[in-house]
Amino acid sequence: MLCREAESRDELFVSTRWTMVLKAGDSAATSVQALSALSELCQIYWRPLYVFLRKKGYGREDAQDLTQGFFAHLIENRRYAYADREKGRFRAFLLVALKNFIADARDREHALKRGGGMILEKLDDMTDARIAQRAAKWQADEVYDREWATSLVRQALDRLAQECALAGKRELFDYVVPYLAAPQESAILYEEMARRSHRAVATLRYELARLRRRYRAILREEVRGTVREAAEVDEELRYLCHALAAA
Amino acid sequence: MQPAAAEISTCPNCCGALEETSGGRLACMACLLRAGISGEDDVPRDSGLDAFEGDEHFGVYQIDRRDHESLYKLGHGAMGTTYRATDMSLQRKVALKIIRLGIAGRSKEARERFLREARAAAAVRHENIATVFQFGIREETGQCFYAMELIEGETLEERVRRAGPLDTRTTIVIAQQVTAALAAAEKRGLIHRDLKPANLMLVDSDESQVVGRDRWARREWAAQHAVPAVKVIDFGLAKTLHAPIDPMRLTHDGFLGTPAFASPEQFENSALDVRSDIYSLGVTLWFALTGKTPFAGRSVQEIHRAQESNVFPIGQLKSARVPSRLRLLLKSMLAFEPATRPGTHKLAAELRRCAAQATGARRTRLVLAAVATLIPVASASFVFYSLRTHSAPPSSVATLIPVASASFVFHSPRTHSAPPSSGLNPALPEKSPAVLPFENLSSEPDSAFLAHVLHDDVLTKLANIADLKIISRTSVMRYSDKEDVREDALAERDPGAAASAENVFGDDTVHFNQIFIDSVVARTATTPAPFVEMDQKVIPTMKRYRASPQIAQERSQYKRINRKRTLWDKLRYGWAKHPYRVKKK
Repeated sequence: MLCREAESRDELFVSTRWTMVLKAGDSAATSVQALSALSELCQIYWRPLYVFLRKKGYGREDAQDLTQGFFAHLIENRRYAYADREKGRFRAFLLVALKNFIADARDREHALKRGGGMILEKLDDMTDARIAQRAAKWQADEVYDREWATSLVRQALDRLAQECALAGKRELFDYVVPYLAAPQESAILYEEMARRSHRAVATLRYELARLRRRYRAILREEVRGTVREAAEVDEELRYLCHALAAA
Repeated sequence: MQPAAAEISTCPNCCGALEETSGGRLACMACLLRAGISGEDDVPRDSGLDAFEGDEHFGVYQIDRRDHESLYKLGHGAMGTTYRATDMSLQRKVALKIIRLGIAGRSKEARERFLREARAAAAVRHENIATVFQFGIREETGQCFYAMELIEGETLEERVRRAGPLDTRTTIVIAQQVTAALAAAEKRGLIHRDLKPANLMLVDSDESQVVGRDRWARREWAAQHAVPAVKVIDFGLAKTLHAPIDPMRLTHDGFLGTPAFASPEQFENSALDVRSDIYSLGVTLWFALTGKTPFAGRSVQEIHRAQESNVFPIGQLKSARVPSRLRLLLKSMLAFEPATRPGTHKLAAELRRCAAQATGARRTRLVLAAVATLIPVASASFVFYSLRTHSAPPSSVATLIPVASASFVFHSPRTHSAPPSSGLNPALPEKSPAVLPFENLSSEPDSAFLAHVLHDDVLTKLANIADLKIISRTSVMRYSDKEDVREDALAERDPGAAASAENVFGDDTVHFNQIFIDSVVARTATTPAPFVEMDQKVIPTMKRYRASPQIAQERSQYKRINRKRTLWDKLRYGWAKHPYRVKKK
């Protein structure tokens, strides 16, 4: 990722998501560019869709194929154009679109020929047993929402980790990440953190506070990119919190 | 990287399952998601993080922390936040001010000019200017800071808001100190530009610093330290921060400075000199005397219009009993045209004259208070003398000579009311004192002459006090031996006064009677010691001295004698309607 100010980078990132979708569907774009955009899109939103398919009863490979094919279908047929931001959230749109997709069995074979193996490698990182265990007691939609929430958090953390890496503080990020959501000051073990990171407590206090603020901003930005307007961010977050709590 | 099997562990906050995040660490997704909701902001942020970025080290200084781990904040203002810090190299406490504005991104010339001007301000050395130790810029954040001497006290603003307006004398002394500071800075071409009560630190005297129980040393020290020492802070800082390179925006419609205390030329962005500070000092003194500012307004424009009108609410000063000379001086300091205001030298001279006037008026009030309190005590036989002689045999010298009893009676009450109490000065009765004749209570008729000597001595000393009208000797002679008159006079006892009388007996020494009352130490002694010394410290305690067994016995006799007088009983046992019944020995 290019090195640039956090604010401008965030703004660029938000537009980049939709831009990615648009670029992936641009018929004038080269196949390489289309595949690159597709890969980025899949990396962000594949997990919820995959878990949904798994909950639906599809096997691992079938679920992978369907997920990959779905994104390809989404781009090739410009199905993203139907994601009317004035009428719903992107999360809900994707789920509806996926449901429609799997209803059409003709896309299944087509998905195997597109997308390459980029997603497959990602899928290997997942622990299916754990996901299957948790998904056993939930409905498919609930599983989808939960994974969507988890994906948002992971995306925000990844972006924060990238920023820290650019600032040469990736190691510090690894130490403070468990405390990014600590509700009380007393719950933060500064002394232990200082001992392990070989940093002063005062420095850790400041850095943690700064990273907490930055994480929160990134998370809200990620959510902002999936809702209609800024006022819906809190509502979406509460919905997703409820989904996680129900799990 | 093949991930390890995810550990099943729960969140200590919500008991939810932890999940693996980037980097392989476990975290609670629910809590992390909840952290993004507005209003559910996480851990209470450290208060100091709002004031500056980065850690709490600024050069060799480290900001102190309180017991509960928060930063040791001393104060907060428009220009920045002040913390208590430690000079790690010298291990001394300092006041570290982190200036709100950073100069990162400015040109090199601008930064150098900023530092140059700041160092010029820091170079001023005066006992009434808070010493600035270091002025610096933290490069990594571009934040400016300066370290100055840590002053344990309160600002003038805090003092007035806490204890009410100050008395004239204290205000004048404060003004003299600030004037001296302005003069010292003027020699270096430096002006404050933001002089106001919040930038004047008051350091009270600490009587405990007097070592030992030397009464005389304590009195001298108390007389010198009755009013607080003043330290002007943030001297020159406003100028350096108001430089064109960094136009500081304040909350008063963009006005630079504090409008209520700013000079007219500051409103007009005209060239400033020390007279601008003198104007601000005038407003500050007005505030100290009245608790208000002369020009009020809800906006910068309103305040400036009030200044232009040149109409002063003199009634505020009159209500505060500000002497006429000081009122005139304040008016001159608040003149709209800078040229008509006094300079630092003239201001210092005028303040000296005002101080002399205020001291004379205060002495008058103190004597009246002293006399009002002396009545209950003076009626008893508490004045004893023993003459220092070298040739006379000890037996004649050691003889107890109860000379007389003196009474002070208030006569001819004045018509005007007493000045309001300011917390430092008690309510003062408006009476004319009269010195009643002394009585010889000794068994030696040869000592009767001392009664006349003492009476003349008291009259002479009191007559030397300006503005104190003493009832003539002829008029009071008719009150001799009139117990009723004394009782009537005693009815006006000042309940706030704590009076006591002590007698010291001894051989070959000059004895004196010392009376400690509100703000006055009255001491009677043979010549050449003065009769009355005006002390400015409230000493409500009784002083006792050791005495020989013979003297102790005689003192007990004295006490017995005193007890026979209902006045003493009333002192000890309250102002009862019925006289205290003396217990017979």
